[in-house]
Amino acid sequence: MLKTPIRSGAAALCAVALLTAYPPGPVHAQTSAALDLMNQSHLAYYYAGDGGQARVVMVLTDAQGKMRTREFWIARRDIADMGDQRYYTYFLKPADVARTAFLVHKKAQANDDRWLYIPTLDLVKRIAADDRRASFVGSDFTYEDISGRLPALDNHEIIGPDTAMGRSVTKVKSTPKDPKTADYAYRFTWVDDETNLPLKEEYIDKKGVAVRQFQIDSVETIEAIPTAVVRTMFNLETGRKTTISFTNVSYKTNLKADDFNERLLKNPPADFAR
Amino acid sequence: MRTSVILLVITCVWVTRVTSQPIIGGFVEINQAIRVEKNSALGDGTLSARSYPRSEVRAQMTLRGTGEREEFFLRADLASDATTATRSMVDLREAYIKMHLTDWLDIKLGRQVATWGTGDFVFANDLFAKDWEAFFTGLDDAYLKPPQDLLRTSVYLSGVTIEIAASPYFTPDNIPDGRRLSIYNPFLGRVVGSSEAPTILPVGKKLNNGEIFGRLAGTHGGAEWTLYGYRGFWPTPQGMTVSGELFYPRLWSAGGSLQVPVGSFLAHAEAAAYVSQDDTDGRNPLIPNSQIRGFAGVEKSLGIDWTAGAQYYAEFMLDHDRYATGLPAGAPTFDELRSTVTGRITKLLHNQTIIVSAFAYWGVSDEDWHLRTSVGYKITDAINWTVGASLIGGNRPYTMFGQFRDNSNVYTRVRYSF
Repeated sequence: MLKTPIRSGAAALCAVALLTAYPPGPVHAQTSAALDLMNQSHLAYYYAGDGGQARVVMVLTDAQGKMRTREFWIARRDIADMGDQRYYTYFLKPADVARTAFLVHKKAQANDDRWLYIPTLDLVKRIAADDRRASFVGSDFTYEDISGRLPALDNHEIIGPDTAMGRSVTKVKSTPKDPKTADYAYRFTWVDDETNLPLKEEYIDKKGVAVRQFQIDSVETIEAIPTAVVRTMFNLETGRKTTISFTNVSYKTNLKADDFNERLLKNPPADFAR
Repeated sequence: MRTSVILLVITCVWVTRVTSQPIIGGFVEINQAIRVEKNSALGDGTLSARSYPRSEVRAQMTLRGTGEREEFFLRADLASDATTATRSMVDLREAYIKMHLTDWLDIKLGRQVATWGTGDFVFANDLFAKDWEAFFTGLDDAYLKPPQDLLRTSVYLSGVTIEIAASPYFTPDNIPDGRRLSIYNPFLGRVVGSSEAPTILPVGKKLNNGEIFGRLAGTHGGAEWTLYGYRGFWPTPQGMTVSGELFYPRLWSAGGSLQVPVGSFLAHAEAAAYVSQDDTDGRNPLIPNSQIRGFAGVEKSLGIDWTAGAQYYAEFMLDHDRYATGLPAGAPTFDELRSTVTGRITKLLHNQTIIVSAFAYWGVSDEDWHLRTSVGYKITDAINWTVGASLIGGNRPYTMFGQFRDNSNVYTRVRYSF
């Protein structure tokens, strides 16, 4: 993540958007409403509940139809909405990475702290903060796609009502304030009018060509929270796609924020390891 | 062997106790290492021993089960190597039971691997055993850590971790013995094969000859600090008897480490005092002097799927004057301060299915070096193919890498995991 003045500015903007009770002024009505909507969407997608856990199957399919599969448990605990989060990933498959665990202390204001546990060496390895645009475990999802990009990093503009995945949505155009923080020029998000989930996204490059497309294939209401249980990212340049399916979803994880530490890396919760 | 059988039986009994559905895994692997030059010191061996440091088929089976508050794990290798006389061996690498006794106390009992410290292939406070023979002959990096029989207690108290690991006996490093790699014989003053390898006196298995490892760790902001302690023996046989054998002198050590992100860098530093208990004032030239060793390094992501790291490592001999005056005339002499620099670069390609990696040691004082390069390709989720090179060189035959200078090899591994 970037440690620039933009980010603290972004956080301030974000706080204002969340806390302000005043109606926005007429000049910025359009962008302020757009930022507000994107913040709501960000909360619905990345901060649902105060945390949770799920078993995840990730299928990577290349242009030739060749598939690779990753299976892992993921647990999350939020420190504050739109703020810091703790993430824990425990790998089950493929076999050569079984029992490997990955811990992230995601920070809204600074670089993430990351640790990897390599079971064959019993080694807890702190790893350098990687580029957030790097692929997550070789998939078409980036780290930023998995853990979220703060809406305040972008300028948002409501395009208007639309239909996506068979539902009524609001289409929003988002343009990164600092082009260096993204590998696309702008993106469109189709935000579900009822759940605020980002049902579809398109990433457009400098030439105006769509390079990646995201969609939520299936939504289930779990513990009263609308949850995107199947999600796909298409790489339109390479013909690759990655589908993530969530099972065993619960927003009632036993893991507290303080539990996301070395002990958890070495000792997965019993229901993850079985 | 007897300990292995006992551990195997205990863990197997535990298997049936804690779970009805143990999870089975493992791999089958072919390892072939080939020398890049003739090694005349090994001329007494067979052709295969001279040409191939390793030529093996290895199968590994893992078995694990998890109960509500306990867990068992079993990992055993069956390896058949054409370059060794015994050919086949069973290697019980892990067999342990872990119990989560309370919210703040875990114990892990049995055969296990253990690693701590902040270094990347350099060590100061990690005095758990290492397998240098595996390290130099193309086995996976995971084989650098051989198992040890330990009782490891971990206490977690409000952000601070206290760990004590103890073993009733000493597990030395597995160092080359002149079969796969030629070695330096300090009594003959030259590099030799197994027939002329020096005799190493093992540490007797008695109560006072155990090992104890300790660690106290915590965090402060983004920084991680750790204190360490050890009581046992020098991990390699650096002591010499007057009758011409090598032995493991007693050692205790204490040290600390710090790991902290600095901007986009991840920085680490570690230091340890090694107290050579059998020769605390450094007068005995046959026993290694007490020393301070430590290192500092940084790691950084250079962009998407690129990582680079660099480290400076040093050993400082505490009684160098006495060491130097005690040496017999003509004996090899080491510098008071011995520096080594390391560098690493790792790049992932092709949707992270190809890993290209290079790691280099350059012994500034000892004028020796070791370069480890490899390319690993995950052909499918199950099949991994690695080719690599383990190149070693040096000006003097008695230094860490210099003694192995005629043992450079290239290797290939194909592993099918299940």
